[in-house]
Amino acid sequence: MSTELWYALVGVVLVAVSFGAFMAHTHLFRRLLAFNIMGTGCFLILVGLAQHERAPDPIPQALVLTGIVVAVASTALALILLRRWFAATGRTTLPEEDDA
Amino acid sequence: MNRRRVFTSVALSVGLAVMLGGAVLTRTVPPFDLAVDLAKGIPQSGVTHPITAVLLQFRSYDTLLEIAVLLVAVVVALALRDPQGAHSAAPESVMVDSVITTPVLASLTLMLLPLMIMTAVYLLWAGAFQPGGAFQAGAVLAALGILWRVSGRRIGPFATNRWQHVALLSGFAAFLAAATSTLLFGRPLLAWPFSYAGLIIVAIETVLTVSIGISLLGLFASAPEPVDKRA
Repeated sequence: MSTELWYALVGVVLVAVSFGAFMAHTHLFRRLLAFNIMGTGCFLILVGLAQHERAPDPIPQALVLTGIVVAVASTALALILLRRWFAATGRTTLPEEDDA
Repeated sequence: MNRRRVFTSVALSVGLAVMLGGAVLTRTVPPFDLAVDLAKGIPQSGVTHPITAVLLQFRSYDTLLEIAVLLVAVVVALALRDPQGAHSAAPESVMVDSVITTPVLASLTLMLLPLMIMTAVYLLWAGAFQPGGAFQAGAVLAALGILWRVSGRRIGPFATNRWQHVALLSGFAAFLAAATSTLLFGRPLLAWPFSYAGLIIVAIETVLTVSIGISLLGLFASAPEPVDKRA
């Protein structure tokens, strides 16, 4: 097993674990954290798998760099939305259908 | 959190791990090697570093849209600012909770100011031939801005300062202008002539650095105050 394949498999584990955490928790901040870790797992799979048994590939690296910037911007926006939501409603979770 | 929710989450998580892991392990090897094709194209790109060549030459459309996403995020963040906080108190009091008034941070920020600007300029310059570029340099500038703000210094009210709006918009506007200017000469979108490609890439990266730094700082600075302190 090459190091790159190992990275991709670690990415798979990160995506799966954070997917489970995303569904198990209802607190929006925990969900945001889980979503970020899921994104990191995707980046690992993208870069690791493309370079498995090959030379370093700048194309997925550039795509991941773009993805990181977008992830940072969307995380910041989500945090702002979260604070506004908490200020407006006093809740840290979204209303669920089966709550009623 | 109830037991059924946990059970469902764990079951689906394990299922996803098995499916994804299987897909990774049994993947088919693509018949072409993009890295080799890219290496052949580098001499035509105007820069020598492959990642910069991909970001601003071969896949520059992605980067253009990425800057647009960043701009949209900042615009939404500015639109969502707390109307009470913006009007009732002085604009400088926004984020007053996160100001740390220690002399260590204040003097350290002053010492870091020239170093971080130098680092940003170096990263920008290095992007043409080694790891570096507009995003890394912009991130350093944003970190400097956040340090500056957290240490209690004035940057000015973010939304009311016209120059900050210009700086926010400049990156995307310059990139879009450069992208569409090729159409005037009958070339496809973003297809820069080879003789000017290096110059255009460096110019765009320079504008993008400032714009990305201001955008990230804007996202930080336009965050609403923590609620529990107000109550």
